[in-house]
Amino acid sequence: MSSTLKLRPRKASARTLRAGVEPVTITYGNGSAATQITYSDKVTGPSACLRCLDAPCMSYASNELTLPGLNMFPADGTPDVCPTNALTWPPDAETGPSIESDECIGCALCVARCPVGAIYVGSNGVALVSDAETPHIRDARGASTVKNAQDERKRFYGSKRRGSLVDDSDKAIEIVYQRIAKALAGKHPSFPALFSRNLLLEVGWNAAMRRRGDTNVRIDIAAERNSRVCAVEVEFSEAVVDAPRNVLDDLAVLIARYKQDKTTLNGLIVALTLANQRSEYFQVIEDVEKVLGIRIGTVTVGALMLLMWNGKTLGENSSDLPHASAGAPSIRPDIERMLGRKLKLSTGLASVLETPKLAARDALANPSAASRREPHSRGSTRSR
Amino acid sequence: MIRLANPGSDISGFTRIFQALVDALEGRQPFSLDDMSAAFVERGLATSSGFMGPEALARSTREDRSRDPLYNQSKMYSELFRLLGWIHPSADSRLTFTFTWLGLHVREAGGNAKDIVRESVLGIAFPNEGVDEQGDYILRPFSTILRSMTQLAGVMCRDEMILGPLCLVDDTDPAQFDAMVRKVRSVRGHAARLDTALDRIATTRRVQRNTMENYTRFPLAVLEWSGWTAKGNDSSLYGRRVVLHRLTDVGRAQAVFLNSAVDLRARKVSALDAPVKEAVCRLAAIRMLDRAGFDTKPLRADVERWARVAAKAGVIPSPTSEVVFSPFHEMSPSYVDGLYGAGGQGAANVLAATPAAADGQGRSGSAAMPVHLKGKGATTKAQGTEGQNVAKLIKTVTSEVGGKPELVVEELMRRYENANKGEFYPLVVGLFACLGYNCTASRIGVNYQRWDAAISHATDSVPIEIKSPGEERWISVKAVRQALENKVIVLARKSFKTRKETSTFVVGYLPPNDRAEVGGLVADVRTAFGVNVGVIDFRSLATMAVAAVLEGRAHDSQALLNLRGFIDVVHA
Repeated sequence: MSSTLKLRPRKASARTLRAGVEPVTITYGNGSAATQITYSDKVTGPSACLRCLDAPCMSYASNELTLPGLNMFPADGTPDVCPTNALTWPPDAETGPSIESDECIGCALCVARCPVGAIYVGSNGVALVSDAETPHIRDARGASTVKNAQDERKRFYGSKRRGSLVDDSDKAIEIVYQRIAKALAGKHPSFPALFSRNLLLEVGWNAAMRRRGDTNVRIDIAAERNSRVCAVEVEFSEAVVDAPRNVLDDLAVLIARYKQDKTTLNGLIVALTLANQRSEYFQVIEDVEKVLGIRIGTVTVGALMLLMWNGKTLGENSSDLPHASAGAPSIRPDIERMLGRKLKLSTGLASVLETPKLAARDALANPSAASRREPHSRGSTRSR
Repeated sequence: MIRLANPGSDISGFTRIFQALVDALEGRQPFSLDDMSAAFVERGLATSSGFMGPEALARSTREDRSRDPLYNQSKMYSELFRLLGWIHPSADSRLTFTFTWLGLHVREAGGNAKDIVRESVLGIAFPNEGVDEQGDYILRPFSTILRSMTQLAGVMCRDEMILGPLCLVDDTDPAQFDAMVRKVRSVRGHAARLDTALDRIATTRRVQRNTMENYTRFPLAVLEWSGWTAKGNDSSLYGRRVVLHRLTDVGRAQAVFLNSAVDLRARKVSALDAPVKEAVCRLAAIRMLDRAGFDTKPLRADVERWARVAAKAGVIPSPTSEVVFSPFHEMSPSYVDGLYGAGGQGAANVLAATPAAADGQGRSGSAAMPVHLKGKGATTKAQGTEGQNVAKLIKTVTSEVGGKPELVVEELMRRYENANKGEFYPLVVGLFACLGYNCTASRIGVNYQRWDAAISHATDSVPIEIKSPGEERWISVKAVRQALENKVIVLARKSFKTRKETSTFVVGYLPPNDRAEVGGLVADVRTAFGVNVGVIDFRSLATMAVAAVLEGRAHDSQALLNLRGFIDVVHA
């Protein structure tokens, strides 16, 4: 057999961090400005794309998509980071990756993935790549290799991370949700599952999504953190009220067929928005816990983004998931606990943290609640 | 019409599956379909009969291989990968395979495989020496579609694709190509004319309209995935909303390239003298890989030599000419293996012995549980208004069809085969009431009564999930999920007196189409949560009710209220 040829190297020149300086602090622009890096020589300036050959902003490596606790799960191993394919980097491009603004939903997944903070969300809610050479990040001579890129970005790993990828404002959430609605109406059939899987990966979970069209597996996403497996149902439509029973189906299969330990197994529903309080969704969640002893968590993609924007994880494991019930149909307390601070979002905004009915009730009880703003602790240190 | 089977629309997905297959089997060639199935298991890609992993393989395997789902899945993939020129049948068997040099490059491309997949689909042409023929068609379908779209204002709908490029007999004949474009233009804007033209094709070729439509699924998925077209609803063309596929800039550029490149076909290449033939095949392969982003510089001297040979023989106008031709798809496997070597030249190295055949009967939940009908003479009083109404209906039907209970049941089946929930739910309630149960329907719009009906009992009340034939003809896993949820709610909210082991019913028109899938879930629910789901089809329920009304035959109530899995009404 003739040996195979190799893909041509990218046209864009590789980048390197200037010798003798190290990045000390990476300060994110909170969704309005480019990320700034302060170096060991006390100089602060904008970040710039390192043009990593393996492009972690675009693709997960295969070892990031494993699920040790359920390795037989027939996963769709799509490595795409951007759920709408807005981020592209043609091999013959002479610059780094670029973002198609019409396709970008402003979720900041790519921002979270960039090891050097070269991608940021601008004030219009669209991600941008800082590709211009800086005094510290310069074009390198010769072709880059994956190993070179990995070695180069390792120099950024010890830096302190400050600020949030996107500020938790009503405006930011509204912009992202409008763009999500457009993506749902568009050409991306895998969008809900891919978006949810990637958000789970970015908030500290292993996650694998089922292959589209595989009728033999009904579990949308299998996720795992700290050796505890979780069955995840993704539902972005009003059918979210059916999701608790779908989780029970998933768990029944995992317990009966794959001998997963019932006592450590949980379910999670990833929704676009929380279900209407009148829909019985929350009551059924309570009933399931009461009768079967199974706790089903609920989280919205908005809440997952808030955690990711602030570099936080979604609970310690599957027993520590956001939980909303009929008595307390809100995940705000859990998300704020995970963030370690109060959120600024208005009550009931887009049903991301509370149900509409709860929001209406709060508004009646306290007319100023709808526009309440809690103080936001700026400058939190992102832990990576 | 050219027949392009539909292997699914997830092009990225099947590319990744192929790459995983190369990783698993490259060192074990030639490989069989069973080896492919085993590799799917090894790589976490196998699912069958509702299972994943090794259990999927065990459950899939049948003595009759034509009924083996995983084997059939491997077969489907092997046909697709052959079509793309990524695998070849090995010299000694059409059912063992080796990877082609092109296939190895698909793996090499990793996450950047889009260009090489594009090149592979452009390489598909008929007739060829590699895969089955397509009648008398002389056609490079994807090229013809793209080129014809440029002649048709850059847009095409599915039905135009059937009428036009996919029915073109010889795309190497410019006159035929032009006539095809004119034909599409002549119907464009006239929905009735387009319909008539398609009907004519269906009649002439003796193929159903929907079968023809199915043949467009793969091309349409590829066109969109490749970025060559974008689709959108449009009513400007036909006065009604149709999905129009519009050439993108990338698609236009591709069409321009195809118009300028030399389009070689297998018959022409095969007829060349051996040295020229080899040079042309090697040149075409390298051009494909070059366009797919591979670094061909190491072969520059060879490429220049092959190009000179091809140009001198008059196959291409100049050594720098672009060529569209995939020897991996179009030439015979033995010839291509002669050029690049077979994927493996040793003896067959079968990864997995054919697994022992499983029974294929699914899980224990598929087994039916008997509910015995007792002897005649019992007096079971139909309960409530619904019970009395249905008892009356049964007697009326009896007088119409004669006294035999089985004829009455069949007549009820016939009368209600298209019933919607408004008719069917009260009927089911009435049938249970004829069996002596206090059965009531839930009120519409009452959210907390999630079940459709319920049997109220002193100790063993049962929520009932009903699916009318108008909702779903065959009972599905969805109904089982709902039955489980009903039981959870009843237990949590203490809506009725009941026990955990008492059944929760699903009642539908016909038993499940996929009995193993529904039975499997029933068994899983029992194992995981200790909840019994009873699955009752309309014929069984009607049989019990008719026996009660006409013959005074009671049934084993304990067995029914504790039903787990499918009901089997047994005449004592």
